[in-house]
Amino acid sequence: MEKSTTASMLYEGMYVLNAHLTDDARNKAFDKIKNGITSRGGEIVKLHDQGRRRLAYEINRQKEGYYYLVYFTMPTQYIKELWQEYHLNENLLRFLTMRTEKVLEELKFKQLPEQ
Amino acid sequence: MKRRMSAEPVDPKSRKRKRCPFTAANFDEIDYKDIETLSKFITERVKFCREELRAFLPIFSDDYQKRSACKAHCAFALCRRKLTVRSYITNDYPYLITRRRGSRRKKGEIASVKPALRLIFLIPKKLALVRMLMPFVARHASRKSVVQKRQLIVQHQKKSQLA
Repeated sequence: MEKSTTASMLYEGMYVLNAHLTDDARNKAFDKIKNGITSRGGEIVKLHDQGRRRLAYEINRQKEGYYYLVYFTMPTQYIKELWQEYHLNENLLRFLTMRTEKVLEELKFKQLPEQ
Repeated sequence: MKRRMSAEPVDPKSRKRKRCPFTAANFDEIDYKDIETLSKFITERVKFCREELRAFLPIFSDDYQKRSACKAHCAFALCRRKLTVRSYITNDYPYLITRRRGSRRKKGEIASVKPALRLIFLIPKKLALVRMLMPFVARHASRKSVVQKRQLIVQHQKKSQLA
């Protein structure tokens, strides 16, 4: 059981940051997220900056969000701590961390053939 | 009564059968980040729950229905898609808790969840709990999984009676 908690796994995290922030403030907020991963023995494998996007529905009266996608390795035991930290971050509108098996180098997806 | 006859008689056997587009294209996985593909099958402001999703996506195979429902919820969670979800079962249903939730719920315990509370389970505020949806999804996925789940519940009830 101990092995499963201490072993580092590959995760993908998607973060929606406040789009009203200035570039410096947003970078600071994102650095805080990255530091949270690296300070707990994690390692950032790949980072995708998806930029400003329109939200499908309003969050805190905001219509836009800044999207980041991060692939990172992390010991499983610290994930809970990370989530707690994220909930206290006011600039982070939404987040989602999921376990994955592969890292996407480019965010291009297979398209369905037209019928 | 004279029946209208069409110029070309339609043979029901010759009709093309609808196939799941994902199985036809040999898709490995539906990704929540792939909004374009998801939005082809889910409209902007559709009110759906898992049961309705089945009716909504009739050409999806069981496996892809299960995956797409979960991914759609992930996309909703990240504010990429609009989605309105309502409770889908009127009666209380025994729910095997797969993770500890708060002080009341323990792992392995069987609890009946009230319809109003199901909303919380469906769209958890803490998005990390999205994985908790899986037992719900699996329940609708196939008959086999339903039987397995019931067996689990019966086994658990027997154990608790003996104890």
